[in-house]
Amino acid sequence: MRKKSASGVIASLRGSTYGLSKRLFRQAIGGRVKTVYASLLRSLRPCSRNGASWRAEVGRVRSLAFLSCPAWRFNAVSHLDIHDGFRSEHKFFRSLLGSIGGMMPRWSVAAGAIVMAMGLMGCVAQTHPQDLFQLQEESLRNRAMQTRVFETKDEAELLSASAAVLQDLGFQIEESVREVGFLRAAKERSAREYGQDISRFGIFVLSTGLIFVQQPPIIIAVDLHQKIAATLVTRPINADATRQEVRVVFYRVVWKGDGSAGNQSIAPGEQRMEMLRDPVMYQTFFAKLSKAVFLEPFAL
Amino acid sequence: MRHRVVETLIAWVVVAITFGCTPPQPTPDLLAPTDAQMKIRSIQTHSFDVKDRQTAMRGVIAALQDLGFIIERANESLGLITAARFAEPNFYDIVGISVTIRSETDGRTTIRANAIYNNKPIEDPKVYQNFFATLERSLFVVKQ
Repeated sequence: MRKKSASGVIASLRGSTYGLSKRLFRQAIGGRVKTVYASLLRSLRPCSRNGASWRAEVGRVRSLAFLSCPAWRFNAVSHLDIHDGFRSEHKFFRSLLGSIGGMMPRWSVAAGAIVMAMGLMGCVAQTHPQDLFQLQEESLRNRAMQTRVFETKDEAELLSASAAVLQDLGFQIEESVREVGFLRAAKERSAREYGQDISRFGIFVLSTGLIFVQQPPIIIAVDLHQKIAATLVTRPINADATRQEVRVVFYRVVWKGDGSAGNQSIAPGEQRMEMLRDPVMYQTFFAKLSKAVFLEPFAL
Repeated sequence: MRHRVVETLIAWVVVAITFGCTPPQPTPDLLAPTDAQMKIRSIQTHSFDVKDRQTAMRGVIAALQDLGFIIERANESLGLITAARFAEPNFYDIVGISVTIRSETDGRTTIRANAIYNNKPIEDPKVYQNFFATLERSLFVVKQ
């Protein structure tokens, strides 16, 4: 379980490290050539979404935001805690860099930031679209985790039972197509975590030393809000349709609050998305579903 | 001397006006299909030996889910499926795909897929080859 979450952690870490170099850069430059640097970065990595304002993002997210994650905090906790550990570590790194920035001449920080940004850009793995349409090693594993088979003829019953389970878990059903056995549901919940607030305070206290070099203390952005989403598909897997397969996929979108680094404020609404690949979450869902349809499911 | 300056000015103004006033004339074949369009369409289209459109739709959904896509929308009567996924490992880029499924009279089904990578259409034939290969496998499993 830990291992699986790690891939998500790395992904979010990578993304945020990129944001870090951006922010540091912005801070070093003093915000004057903000537009130039922004367009420069964009031209170098046209696909990055990090750090863009929520308003700019909203259209794109809407396409995916219909899905939302669980109020099963108890399930999600283990998953989220791992992230949190990593995140606070790298936030500390960010504050450390920020305080160095306060002590060195601005031009040297700017130069350093450029070098760092270049290095980081080289390091961020860019997936080629052609790889995305190929089955990967973990595709099979994910499929096994997300799929259960039920011995029933009644597909409509299975679908409505699935809808009921999703409702029990606090989801709102957003779309349903009976003919192809498709359901889409979402829910919005708070994404506040104590760990993040504590590290925010800790970094604020640690960085108060910056006022001696006429820099305001650093306030890091914490996760505020999340949307957890599920798509569910049922389909018969043999010719006379006596066996039905149910496949469910969960993912979430997280919105961050505001903060500031140096003289530059970080606008609220920066967002991050991730697939939820915690097996426990899927096991819980299927346990509830099998109770609802009085059937014993079996894995593929 | 003064005359010269005025003349030059007038000449420039005339040039500017002429350029500003002539809109580019649309050619008659503006909306005519180009070779590139036809090529992309043939890359994006594939015909399968499946009679039932619903079976084909379920096969497409299963293939997309196997590829890690999130199904956004499915419309049975139009035979339309929209899906998206993050370009993992980075979660800031999005790959979107819309698939249309149409039954042909000869008992075959034509499937057309359009994929975009962050708002830019994907025109690489290899991408579509990979997609149809996965789809073929998925449809084959359904038939059994």
